[in-house]
Amino acid sequence: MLKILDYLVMGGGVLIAAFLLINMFRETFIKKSKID
Amino acid sequence: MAKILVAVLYLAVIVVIGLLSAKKVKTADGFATADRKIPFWTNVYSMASAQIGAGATMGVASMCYAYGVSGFSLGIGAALGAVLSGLVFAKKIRESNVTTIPELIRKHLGMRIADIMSALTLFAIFGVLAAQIRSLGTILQIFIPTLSLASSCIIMSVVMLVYAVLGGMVAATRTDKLNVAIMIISVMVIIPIVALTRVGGFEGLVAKIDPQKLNPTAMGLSSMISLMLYFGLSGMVNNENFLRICGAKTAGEAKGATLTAALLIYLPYMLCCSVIGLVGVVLIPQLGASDSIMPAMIDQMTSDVGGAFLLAGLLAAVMGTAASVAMVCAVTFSRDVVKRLRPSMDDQKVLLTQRLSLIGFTIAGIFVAIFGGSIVGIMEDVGAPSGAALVPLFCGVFFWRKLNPTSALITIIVAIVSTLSWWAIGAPYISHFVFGLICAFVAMLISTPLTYRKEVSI
Repeated sequence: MLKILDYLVMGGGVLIAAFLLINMFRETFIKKSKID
Repeated sequence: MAKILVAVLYLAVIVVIGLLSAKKVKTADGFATADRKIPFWTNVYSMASAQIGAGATMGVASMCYAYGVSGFSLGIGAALGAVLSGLVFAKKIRESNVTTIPELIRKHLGMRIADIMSALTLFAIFGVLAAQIRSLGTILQIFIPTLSLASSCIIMSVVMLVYAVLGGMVAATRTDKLNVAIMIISVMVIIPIVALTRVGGFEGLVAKIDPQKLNPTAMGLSSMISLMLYFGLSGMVNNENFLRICGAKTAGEAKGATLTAALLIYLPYMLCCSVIGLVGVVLIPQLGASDSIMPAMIDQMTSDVGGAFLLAGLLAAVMGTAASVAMVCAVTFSRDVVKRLRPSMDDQKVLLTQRLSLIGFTIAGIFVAIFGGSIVGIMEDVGAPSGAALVPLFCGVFFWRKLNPTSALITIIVAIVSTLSWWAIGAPYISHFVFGLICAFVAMLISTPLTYRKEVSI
């Protein structure tokens, strides 16, 4: 049970972070969505 | 040495982004809402960066360090408030096509109520600004311990001003991306993994931690409810998010961006902060002030260079919120006070006023930050009357057509008087904010039908 929490916090953090950072990179440098 | 180098490098990047963004800002509306063209994901990161400030980062970790799992009631309240803001209000706010909360109030309840709310809102946001400046100074002191609190606050305020004054909302949304990236890597990935590994995972944590810290009501039910309501409702009617919701391209995007920021970034981020605070109970049991648990964990768990990077993440979290709060102060003052007194001002003069008032509020904020007592105390005490008046009015404006200027004025007066009186007698049983909020809601519910009928009959 507690082992699952370890995986949830550490794995969840890594997964969310990876998604957000990849998406941020894509938006900024590939799609080039700009405020102008 | 590595810490100082990382701090200087980070501050330099922030200033360069501000200078580059200055070219894009030509109008007052562009300064305030990036011409209502903020792309969806840029807005998501910007909202998350505004929400994740000193409160979510150092506050949640500190509460969990001091009160164990019950301290996360702050996080639950704040996350629920952000979700409700997206579900209930975001679409309606964007459709209203306004820029600030007083502007919205003016549209529905007239000039007089809007003027009173402008003053109250400004007062409340200013308290938050001073608290953020103090936090920025405190964090810079960890980078460079020889600096005094006053010098640290001044240095960080100057950096914040350079990019916020020149670049306005365009700069804020651009640097928000950088800030959110650093925060995500440090607070959601590196620190929880290192902390949990050191303590032996959750099994080790549960075995070593004081059992009282695992009691879900250790803080006391009354305090937990007060904390949840204060941070939930003040987060729901959030001035910084309001500005970003207004900057979204469409009403649908405003709602989607608010919900995405709350569920995908804000809530997981605060969960990670709470884990860091709980692990801190085991790893650093003898800490003097619970507020410094986050920087203390970073300092003790990492190498010099790694620690510098993580501290830069913490600095980034508070910097984003500080700049955004300062922006809201300037925009509210220029649009709702100065423009109201001098309606003939042209767009360029409004833009100049926004920039000058940003400088003025920041200087005043530095003084309060340096000489103020307890930061959290100032924030809550100053923000309570405004929040207690604003929450009922906000609900009324969108969901109760009978709400009228007379009942709104009664609600505001009752909120201010009841909050201050309860605070003056020491806020027994429940916090002064919750007491003021209940009184204000009751006043609105009673006075609205009465005054509505009266006005109709006239």
